[in-house]
Amino acid sequence: MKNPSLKKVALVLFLLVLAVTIFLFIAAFQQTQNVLMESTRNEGLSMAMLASEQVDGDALASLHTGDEQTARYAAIYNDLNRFRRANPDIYYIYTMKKENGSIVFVVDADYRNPGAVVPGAAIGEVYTNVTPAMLNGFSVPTTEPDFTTDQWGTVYSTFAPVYNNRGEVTGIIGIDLNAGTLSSRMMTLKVLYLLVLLITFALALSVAVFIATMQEQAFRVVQENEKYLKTIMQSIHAGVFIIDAGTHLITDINPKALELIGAEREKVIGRPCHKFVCPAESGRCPITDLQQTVDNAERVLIDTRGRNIPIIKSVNSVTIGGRRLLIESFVDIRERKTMEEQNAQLIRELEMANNELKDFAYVVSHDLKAPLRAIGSLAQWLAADYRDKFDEEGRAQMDLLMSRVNRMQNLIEGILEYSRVGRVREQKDEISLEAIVREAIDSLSIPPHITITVDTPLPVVRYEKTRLHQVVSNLIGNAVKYMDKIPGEVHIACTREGTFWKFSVRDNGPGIDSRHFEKIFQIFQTLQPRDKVESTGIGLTIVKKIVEMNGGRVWVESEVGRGSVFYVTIPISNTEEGSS
Amino acid sequence: MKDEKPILLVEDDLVDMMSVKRALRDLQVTNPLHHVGNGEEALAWLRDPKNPRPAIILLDLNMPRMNGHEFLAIAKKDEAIRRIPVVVLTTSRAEADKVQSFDLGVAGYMVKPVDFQQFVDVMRTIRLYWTLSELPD
Repeated sequence: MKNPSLKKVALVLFLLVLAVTIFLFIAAFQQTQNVLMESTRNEGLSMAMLASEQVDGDALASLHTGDEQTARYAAIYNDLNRFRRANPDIYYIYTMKKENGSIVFVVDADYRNPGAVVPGAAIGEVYTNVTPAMLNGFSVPTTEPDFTTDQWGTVYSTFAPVYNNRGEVTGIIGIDLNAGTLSSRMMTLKVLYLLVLLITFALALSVAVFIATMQEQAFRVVQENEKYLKTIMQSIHAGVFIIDAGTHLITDINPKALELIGAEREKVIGRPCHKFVCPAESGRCPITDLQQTVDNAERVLIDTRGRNIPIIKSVNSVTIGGRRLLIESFVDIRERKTMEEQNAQLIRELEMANNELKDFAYVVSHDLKAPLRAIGSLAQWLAADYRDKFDEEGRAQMDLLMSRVNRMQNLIEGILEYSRVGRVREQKDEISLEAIVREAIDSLSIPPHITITVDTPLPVVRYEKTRLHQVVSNLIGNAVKYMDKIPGEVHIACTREGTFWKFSVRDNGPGIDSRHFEKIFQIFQTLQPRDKVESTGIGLTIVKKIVEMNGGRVWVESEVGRGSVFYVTIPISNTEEGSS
Repeated sequence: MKDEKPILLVEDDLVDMMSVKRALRDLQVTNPLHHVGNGEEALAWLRDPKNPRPAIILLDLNMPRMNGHEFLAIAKKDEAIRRIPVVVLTTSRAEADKVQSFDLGVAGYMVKPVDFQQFVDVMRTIRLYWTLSELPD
């Protein structure tokens, strides 16, 4: 019951029904009472007429004050008493006549009656409480309209005329019927009816109260459900449209959705969904017409200005109360889109920068190397063509010139190599570290005073093969290149540390001061003069780049004069788990 | 050298040209060396009926006006030129350059070393190639 005015209508209806019921009860009671009264009246009338038949009108007329001892009086007196004895319903029986304008008693059945409750009246005693029914009794048999209650009890009075032999009315006979039972029966009936009425009323009232309470409760539940739904709709962060699947009209919308499309609620409710939710044409609804499903899909929302807002949308089709609804919920992804665009822009810029770097590497490789090669060639030709013109010092200078050309050549190649790491990606394979170490040792031409020992079994790792070779040969090569002891010892080991392999190359060489631990991994940084040990200062930089690009770490532990240990970590992939 | 046919050197760098000349002299190759500075000049020389057909073309990649790859793309479609063996002589070690060159039908790809003595070795290899390989007339 949504509308409280309906409740009023129901209440009025209930009261009306109650009133009709009460009226019908009263009518039924009246009818019953009337029937009872009628039968009582008939009984009284016939009783009075029967009694009147027993009384001689002439005898009645002849009786006057003081005639109580006469045989005429005794005859009527005995007749009345006999009649009373024969009819136990008779409470009181008497005769009256008109005398000098008054109604007076003639023969009273209770006159000197030893068992009488009411003291009987003597002849000529004036009766004062004359009623119209009594007067009417002088012409036709009549009854009082109702019971009469006096100090002796409740009676029903009835009268009939008494005739003489000439057919003249000489008096009346009055009979009081004992009405105590009847009246109490009437009373009981009254009470019974009242009781039934009360019970009916109480029953109806309680039913009405029960129904009203139930309705109140149902109404409250509906209200609470509405409030519950409204609160949810208002507080969810996503935009929600409820659409009738049949008519494609928007039936409900939440504030978040209104905020997104920038419209007022009244302007959206009842409008076709494709004006806002999706840009489909009428009759080409993706869900109901084209049988598509929309689940976390990127779509657009159209706002009131006709702008498209990118959203992530899901549509659920539900049936509530026989009505098919589409529940469309969506979130605004403008920020995400902007971020994606920014990211794409960033990637484009990075790609451009990377390409520039690639071009730069090419410029270095060709444009720097070409003149360098020319210098080298010209120097060699000079040395060859003018050999006899150069003295010892001139030749030494020529050699220095050539060595610097070679060093520059190495530097350029180093830069190219460094830029190639990461730019040129190789496929990762399952590589035996042991094989790589062996290859590296073979390619390095180790002097006889240096021994290389592999202390632990070496695992199979997932790596780019040539890069791993670069790392290993750089580390072993450095250990050999800088070795200053006889005998020189290089130890190679690999241990498992959690999810990493820790590969180490230990030597008993000169060692590195701890303040240089970072510097040695930076490009072009060398610790020895280049004329003493020819080095570009790129090797460890390349090692660091390769190791870090493969998710590992490289560091050194060292003590000056005792030697160094270089560590490299390699992530253990799932496929190589346990294959050491 | 076969029939004393000329060698066509397509090279923009003067010192590189001198290197080739010196290396051929050191190797006592007597074939005449003809030098042009870029792809356009090379095509013009090859298409000039007054000029003899060269035994081999030594081609630099990085040149002004028309580079080595552009030259190859045109030369390999030219019925009169396409069967002359071309050996690329360049500073580039880039994989892309190598792939593109072989796709365009070169007979060899040599990287110019810095050291002249090594360059002479490269030229010796090239000479060996064209001396031993049979070529169509």
